[in-house]
Amino acid sequence: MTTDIVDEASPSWTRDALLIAGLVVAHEVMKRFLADGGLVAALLSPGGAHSAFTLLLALLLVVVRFAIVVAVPAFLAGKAFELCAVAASRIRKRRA
Amino acid sequence: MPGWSKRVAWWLGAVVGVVTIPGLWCSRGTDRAYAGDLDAQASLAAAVDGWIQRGFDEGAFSTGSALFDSEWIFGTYQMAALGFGQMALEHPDDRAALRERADRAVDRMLSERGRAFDTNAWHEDALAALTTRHGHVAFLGYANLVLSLHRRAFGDSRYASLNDALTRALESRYEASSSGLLETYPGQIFPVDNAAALASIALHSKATGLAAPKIAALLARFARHSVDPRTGLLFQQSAADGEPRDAPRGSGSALAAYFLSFADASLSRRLHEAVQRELATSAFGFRVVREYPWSTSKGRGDIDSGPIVFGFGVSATGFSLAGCRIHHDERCYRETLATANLFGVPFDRGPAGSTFVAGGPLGDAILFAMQTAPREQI
Repeated sequence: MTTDIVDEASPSWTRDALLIAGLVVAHEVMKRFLADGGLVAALLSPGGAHSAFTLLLALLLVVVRFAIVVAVPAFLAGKAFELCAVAASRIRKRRA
Repeated sequence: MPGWSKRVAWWLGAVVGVVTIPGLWCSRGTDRAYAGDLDAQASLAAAVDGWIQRGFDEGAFSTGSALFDSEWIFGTYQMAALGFGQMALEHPDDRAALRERADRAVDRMLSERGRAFDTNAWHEDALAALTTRHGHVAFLGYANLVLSLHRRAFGDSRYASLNDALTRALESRYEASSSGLLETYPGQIFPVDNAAALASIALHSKATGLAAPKIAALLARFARHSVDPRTGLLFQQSAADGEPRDAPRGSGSALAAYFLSFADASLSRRLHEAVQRELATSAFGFRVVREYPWSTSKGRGDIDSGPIVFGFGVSATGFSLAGCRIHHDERCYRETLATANLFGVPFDRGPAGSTFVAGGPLGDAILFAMQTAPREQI
């Protein structure tokens, strides 16, 4: 029954889970790669003498971070609410 | 179940998720930071000390301006030394280890490389020009604040005679100044740099017990000339006669609220309250600070403000953290630190300390100093 509910609420859950895992891995890798400085100068002064690659990575990190901290929790909370709604609907149906 | 009701449930959940989870996630540990938890501060201190031990080669900062690159090197050492001093005052048992780190930061700050930004701008070394009337207030004010705090935190400071000399040099410059403001660079006056200098004189007096009879008058004149009567914020730049040359701004006001807490708690509180009243916005567990007041026409971002996103300034937000702690506003502190955690990208390196990936050496040092800003009057 639980699997049914998950399938009904989120038929593409494996794809979603892989996407989230990919974001988390990318975030961690970029954090380690960029932790030795250079990023702040790239962000503060895009005209500086740093490489375009660093600037690109910096912007990518900002996007991925925003996705992980804001978009993923919103997505997961949405899915949780959806699952609850489907489960509640099944319970109502069974009682009826 | 109909598709539309699933969509409604999803959107409802998504809204609840956006409103609650990021704020809760990013504010983890902010209560410990506010309370002055030793482990939390030690982790920041280790990361900052790591940067200082590694040092900065040519090109370590690449802002596109040689002056700003050198300023950032000096700023990193200066903020690091302030952080170590503040931490020693809060955790006296760790004073010996912190002193070693503080001395390392101070030595680098006073080195030729540390002074380079000022030397290049003035075409003379500030330490060799103490008897002149040339302002040099960025170097003299910021460095002397560190030396005064070092003396206050560690007692028998080996920089005591230099601290005395810089304090005398600043006092004599203020005596000779008609506007009560000293130049940062030739022809350029920034009130926030003068806030650091005045704070250094007041803190020298507290550390040594020697009277500074003119400091109250100097601070009053500073507030009269440099604080905007309409917003209560600090003007970012002034002309030679003390009249404002730029708008009142968030980055300067928030940093001055921090510096002035060492000299005049009331003026510091007024600036902090003005920053929060005129510039701060709080939502969903985060707090951001505008660089320019709503009433001012949109200003441009610069090296002081950092990037300005939708009017909100990176520097203004980061510097405002200190005022929240100094003036016992826990909610303000936790929300502002949550914002720093969201955009700063904290990264725990274990024994090597916790660093902010987006901050680099200067960002780490600034957030270290702001997070450890003293809650008690020192």
